[in-house]
Formats: sequence, structure tokens, C-alpha cells
Amino acid sequence: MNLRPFKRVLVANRGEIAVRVIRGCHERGIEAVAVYSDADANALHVRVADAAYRIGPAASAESYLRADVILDVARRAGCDAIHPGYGFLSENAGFAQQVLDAGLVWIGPPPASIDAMGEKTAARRRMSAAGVPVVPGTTEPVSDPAEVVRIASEIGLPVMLKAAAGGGGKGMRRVDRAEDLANALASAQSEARKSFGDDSVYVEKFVVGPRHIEIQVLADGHGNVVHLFERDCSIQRRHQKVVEEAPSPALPEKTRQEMAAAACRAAEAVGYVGAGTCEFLLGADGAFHFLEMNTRLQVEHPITEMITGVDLVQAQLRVAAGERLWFEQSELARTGHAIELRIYAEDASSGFRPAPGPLHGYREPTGPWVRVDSGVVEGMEVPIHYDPMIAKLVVWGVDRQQAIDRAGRALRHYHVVGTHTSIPFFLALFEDPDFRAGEYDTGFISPEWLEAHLSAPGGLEGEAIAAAIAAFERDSRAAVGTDEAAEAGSAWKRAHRWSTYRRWA
Amino acid sequence: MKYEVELPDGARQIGVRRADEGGWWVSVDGGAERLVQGTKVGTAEWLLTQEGVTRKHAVYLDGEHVYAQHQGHAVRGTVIDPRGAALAAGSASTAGEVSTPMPGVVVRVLVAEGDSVTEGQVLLVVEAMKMENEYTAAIDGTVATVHVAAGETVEANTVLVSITPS
Repeated sequence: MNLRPFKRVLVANRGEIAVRVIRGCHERGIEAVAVYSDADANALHVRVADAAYRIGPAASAESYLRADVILDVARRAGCDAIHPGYGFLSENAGFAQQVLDAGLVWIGPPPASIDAMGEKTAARRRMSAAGVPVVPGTTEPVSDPAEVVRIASEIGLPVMLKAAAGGGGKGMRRVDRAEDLANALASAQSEARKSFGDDSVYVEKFVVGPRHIEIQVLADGHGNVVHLFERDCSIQRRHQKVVEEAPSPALPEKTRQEMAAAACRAAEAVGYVGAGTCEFLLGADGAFHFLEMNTRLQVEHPITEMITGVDLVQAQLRVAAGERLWFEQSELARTGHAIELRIYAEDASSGFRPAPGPLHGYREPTGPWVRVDSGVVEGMEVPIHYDPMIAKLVVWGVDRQQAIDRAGRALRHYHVVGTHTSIPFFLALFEDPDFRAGEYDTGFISPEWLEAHLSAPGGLEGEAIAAAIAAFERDSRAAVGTDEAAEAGSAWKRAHRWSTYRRWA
Repeated sequence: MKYEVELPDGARQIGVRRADEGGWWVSVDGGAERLVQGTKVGTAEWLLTQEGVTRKHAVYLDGEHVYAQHQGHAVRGTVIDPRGAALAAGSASTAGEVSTPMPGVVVRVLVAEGDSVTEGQVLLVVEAMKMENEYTAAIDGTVATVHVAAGETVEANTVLVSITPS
């Protein structure tokens, strides 16, 4: 076994995932080089790296998406590999190829695998051929309203219109009535054109009461593919995951095995190498359908690490260096239950509106089986230019109930002052008997649910008193040395007491 | 000193004076004074003791703004010294001023100076954290000044558009 697969890895990302990858590198004795935009000059990933290089202004397009600048840094810094993290350039096959052409190792799947999964309709065709069940629908993009109506009547309403180049919930429309199809098609196409510069749309059956369940796979460059069980990511807002758990509380063992086998077939079909994730929809009817494959490390990878003991970042490094998988499927087991909560700087009570701001006070929870992956420290500003995720709170418990209770404890110990966070939302979720019973689907969090479950903070007298005392001390300090100083005796006494106080402040 | 502290659960008048035994004599809404002792233990953290019980309060003061955290909730409010506030009173009404509560980048400006606008009309769009937020007129009137242009980065609490009431 090669303990130190690379000498120096460039981490082409920011925030918590850059920190996570740097940790993995350091644990294997590899130096880590960070890159940063102007908005991240003081960021945590810059502080923990062995060296960091400025790559441009705050806007992603001028920094973290600048393939040329990042490659130049890799060359100047003497790196032998590039880890892209998730987002940014991670699923950009062109960039992956440039990395390889530069004689560096790309810590990710081959560019051809990224391409094969990147265009959603082509991927659906390919998966169908490989025997991976896909959601019934078109395998060719469509734009003719009459054709859309014909397909919809064939597969049955409701249907979903989806941008072929899409992601992140953009260019998606659910249609329940045939007469609404033409309008929905027009708006899905316009959104797709604006977001992705490509207005191809495909039509698929809308799966009722679906759960979003995904399978983690790991493949080496020698034809070996294993799965590391599933993650249930059905608690979503704006079509984005906010809570993930492993194992799923709703997956029968037989379905788990079928889904995992399908995921491995999917990876094999595209010659996959490295860590990847096949996303499936599990319908209320028990049938599951392939959605897409994410050809990179996922945000929620830590829960898989927690239940399997496999360090996915280290695994990526080893496989990218050409190592054969060091375990077989039969040696992989899962233990206990893990939950991840994405702590966003946002206000659930106003429809999860992003609420960037300064972290005046910030202290992460710790304690037994609590892991926090974050890219921030106290005093930092959550930058407006990127995703508003502050951290991922990950806990492990011997079973689901213990994991939930432990996560609740950690949330209550999470000290964040200055910005709204999703913490009150998670605390409310943990009180919901349906969530506690594991009974939820991707539509669980609705405006109605929020209205019914989110409470406004009350009982703030203690905070009001503390605020008044803080104001009093500030104003007294301002007054000392001015008019009040003239009242000699008492002012000296005050000044003395104040200096005593300040020693502790 | 008396402070008016406004938090999401209501406004309170809080009297604070220094106690000779250390700490402060505090009264809430004119009630009896009680002795509060304690200290600031972090940038945004106080430990305060009343009647022998010590509790943590996550509170940070920034000018008149107070940021706190209570049972996981982010809490925002104001702490005003009414004597100081009386001096500031009499400044122009701000109903016609549209400002952004958070920093962002102006994506589109939909009105120009001299335009008539009606309450609820979208004036401009500001993007923050990949989300586009529409800013609307709070009153009917005429656009007096557009303070920003598309593409501009704006800080929190920046006045974007001023409207003269009709």
C-alpha cells in the first residue's frame, strides 16, 4: 500500500469542502495547496493549507471557475494532482482533460465518465441500456408542445418537465393537467435557456410521494466497483437537500440491494473511477428509478463515512494514484445511524431566505460522535458570493433515535450570533412525530409545514437585560474621561472597576 | 441609565445602574430593581447571575443593533438610549427609502428618476448568495433618486431608491 500517493495536491475549491480535502491530504502525509478569491483571503481553508494562492476577485467566474489560473497555480506550486471538491469545476470534463493534458493527476473520474453522466438525456439512454431502471419518459429532448402532450398522455399525468442540462431545481416544472402543458413547457425552456444556455427539455413521469435515496459507489482503475450503502436525502427545501441520513429509515433490505446493484452497474457502464453517487427516486409504490449520477464527492459524504468507517477523501486519493480497492464488497458493513444537517445562513421563517452576515459569535458543538465540517471561524463574514452553507453538523448514534437526540443536543449547543441559521428549523423538524417515525418524502417541507411548526423566539427578558448591560458598559466607558471624569472620586472608582471588568472582557 | 430594548417578543424599558457590591441594579418596565452580576466571557457571550442562578446569554451589541441567540433562534433587535433617540428624532421619514437588509449585487434596475411608482411595484433586483430578491416600493410616489446601478455591489442597509410620496 502506498501511504503517500502524492507529494502535493492542489485543492480547487473553498469553504468546508476545501478544508475537508486538506484534512484528508494531511492525514496521508500529502501537502495541500489552497486557492482563494479576494472574498476568501482570510478563510479557514487558506489557514489550514500548507500554502495558498490568490486566483482572482470574489465572483466565482473570475476565480474558482478559472481553469487556466488554477492550472497555472498547480504548475507554479509544484503540485502533482488536483482535487476539485464539489461544485465549481468538479463536473467539468473539459477541465479534467486539461488537468490530465498538463501531466497532472485528476482526483476524480475519467473525463469520458463525467461527460457520459453530464448530459441527462444521454445518461438516461445509457442507464436504460445497462438495465438501470429510469423514470418513464423521453430519452430525447423535446421542444414541440404537441409532442409533449402526446408523451404525457402515453406515460400518464402528472409529469415533470426538466432542463436537459439542468440541476439545482432550475428549469423544472410539475404539470398535473394536460391544458397546462404548453405554458409549463414555455417557461421551463425559458428558464433553462437563461440558466444553462440550452433550452432542451425532457419529459418524465412525476413520481408521487418520492423519497430521494442515493447510493455511494467507489471504483478503482482496475475494474472493481463497490457500493457503500445509501443516504436518504428526502428532506429538502427549494429542491435542495438540507438533512441527510444513513441508512434510510424507509428502504426494505431487498430494495436496498437492488438499488445498490443498479448503482454499481451504472458506474461500470460509464467506466467510472473514484467516488461517485447514483441518485434514485423511490416512489410510494416501492419502485425506484435512476435520477442521475454525481461524478464527484457529495456534500453529504460524511454520513457514509460515519456508518462504514471508510474515509472517502482518502479513498479518492488512493484510487486516483492507481491503487486497487483494498476491500471487497463483502467486507463492507454499516454500523449505527448517521445524520447530517446543513447549517445554512438563512431564515426559515421567511421562506429560507439567505441571510448572509457577520459571525459575531461562533462556536461549534462538539462531544461524543459529533463532527462539524465547516469553513468559518468566529469574526468572519459569511460571503455573499457563494453558497450560504456555514457548516455541516454530522452525528452518529447507535440507532436513529439516538442520532436524532444527539443531533438535537448539538444544535442547542451551537453558538451562532449575528446571522440567521437553519438551526431553529432542524429543532422544529426533530419535534415532528412523522419525521421521528421516518415517514417523510421530498415534499415534506412545505410553506404550510413551516407555518405550523416554526415558532417565534419568546422569553427574551434575559437577552434584553444582557443587551442593556452591554450598552450601559459601553456608554460608561465612553463617559469615563469626559464629563463624568470631573466627578473625581466616584469616577476613579468607576474607572478602576471598569479596568477590572475589561480584563475579563 | 434607561434603555429601550426591542426584541422580537416585544419592547422593554430596562434601567441599569452600577451596584456598589459589583454588577448592576436592573429594573424591567419600572418593576423592582434586582441585582445582576456577571461578566462578558466571549465576543458575543455573557454569563449573568441573578438570585444565585447563572445563565449564559448569547448577545452582541453593534451600535444600536443587538444580535442574540435564544434556543437556536437568531434574534435581532435594537437598544436605544431614549435621551439620545430624542436628539435624532425629527429626521426625515424613511418610508420612501428602499434599502437592502443584506449585502448583494444589483442585477437589474427597473425604474428611473422621475418615474411614478405604486406601492408594491418592483423597483430593482438584488442578488445575494445566488438568490434574486425583488425590492418593491412601500408607498405611491415619484422616484426621486436611484442610488445604485446594475452590476454594483452594495453593503447591508444601503439606500437603493428614494421615493417622494405623491
